[in-house]
Amino acid sequence: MSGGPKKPLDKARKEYNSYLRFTGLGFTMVGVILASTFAGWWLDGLIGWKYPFLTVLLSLLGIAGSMVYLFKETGKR
Amino acid sequence: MSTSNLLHAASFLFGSLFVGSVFAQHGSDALDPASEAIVHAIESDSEAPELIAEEVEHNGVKFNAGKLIMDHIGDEHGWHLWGHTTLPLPVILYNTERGFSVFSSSHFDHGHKTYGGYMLHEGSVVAVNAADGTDVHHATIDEAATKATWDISITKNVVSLFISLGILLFVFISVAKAYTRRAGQAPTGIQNLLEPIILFVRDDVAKSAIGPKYMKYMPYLLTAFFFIFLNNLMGLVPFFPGGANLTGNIAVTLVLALITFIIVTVNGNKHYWGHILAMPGVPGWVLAILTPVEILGMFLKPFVLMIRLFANITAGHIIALSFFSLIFVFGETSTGAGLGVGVFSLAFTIFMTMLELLVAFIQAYVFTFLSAMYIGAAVEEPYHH
Repeated sequence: MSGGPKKPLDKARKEYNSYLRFTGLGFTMVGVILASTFAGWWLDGLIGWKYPFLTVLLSLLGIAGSMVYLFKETGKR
Repeated sequence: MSTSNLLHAASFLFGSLFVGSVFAQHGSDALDPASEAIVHAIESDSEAPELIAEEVEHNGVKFNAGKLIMDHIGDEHGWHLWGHTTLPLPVILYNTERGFSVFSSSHFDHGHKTYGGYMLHEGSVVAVNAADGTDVHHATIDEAATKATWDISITKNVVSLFISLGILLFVFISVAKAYTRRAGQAPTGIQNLLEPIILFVRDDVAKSAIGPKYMKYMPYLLTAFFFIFLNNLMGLVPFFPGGANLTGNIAVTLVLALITFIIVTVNGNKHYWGHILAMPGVPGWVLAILTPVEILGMFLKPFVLMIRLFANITAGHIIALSFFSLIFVFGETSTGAGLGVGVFSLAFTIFMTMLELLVAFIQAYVFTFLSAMYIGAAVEEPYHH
């Protein structure tokens, strides 16, 4: 946030570019939720319990993780 | 179990986004014996898949838009030029038992005949145990031998890749020579055209996303940008040497994304790895959730690069071909309907092609910019407060 006076065009460019950073965010969030849910489902298959405890737990953790990731990514700078 | 059903449904939804037409096509195959016979008639009667429009007039068989579109956006052995003319391309196969086989794709006779113990099945080479020149309907696929076969043929996409590399090398070597020969003078000819784009990649992509260390990554970023841009444009040219769907091939975008991933991982500094493995200023219990997510994100970012380019280019091709197919779908009901729809189809196809010209640039820019951004995050030095 420091530095000398900048041309408005440069500033507009920078703002526009910073939006591009977020284009992959949705994919990453969905990917994290899918990956953790699948990991839970796979582990449940290995353990063989009647109730799919790890599927539920890991899918919820995946949602929490993607939320934390969202806050961290958008909070930068 | 209900959860496994949910997972299947989710993965099916995801998959159907990209291969929806394939499923639609297979669905129609399983309708009833009568329509199965029609589908079989199309497969056995058509000289080349691209000639289905002519088949409609001559044989009165049903037009299959899904097959036409999938054939056009896919790869093939041999390059269909026009009418019944196909440019044969070398088929190179390596089988762990049979060894190397190299022959022209014309021996397959557009997928009607077997040759050298191989034949074409749904666009890919499969191994068979039949004499040369046997009709494919009388040959059975040798599953074990097919699994042991590596297809490293010079296909349509590979030829397209070679052509685009030739163009890029010719253009950029001549431009580079012009810069050394006319150092300090005003640019001329093709130099004039490319200089603003090169400067755009340098100033708006590399400098703004990477920072002071941008010069080291300029060769890769410029190569990636011009490679993707040129191949996007060549994909929009409907005739030879365009028409191949190179940047809409997931193997090509996979390699491009993989190169970005390797550059980022190799050049990542302490600051970068620190942010992935243990984000500073985050309490321990959040870290337990965040670190796996960050590690996953490390792989998901290049994965998304791969999917984005592939999906955007493929979608553009599918839309243009769908508008085109509408003419023949309506033409089957009556000639007048086909002609009437043709006017609108043509207008929409032209509009979509104009839009695709823009998309060709935007996707090349986005891929390069995001690559630069990931590199920037990897080489960034920590702030000093």
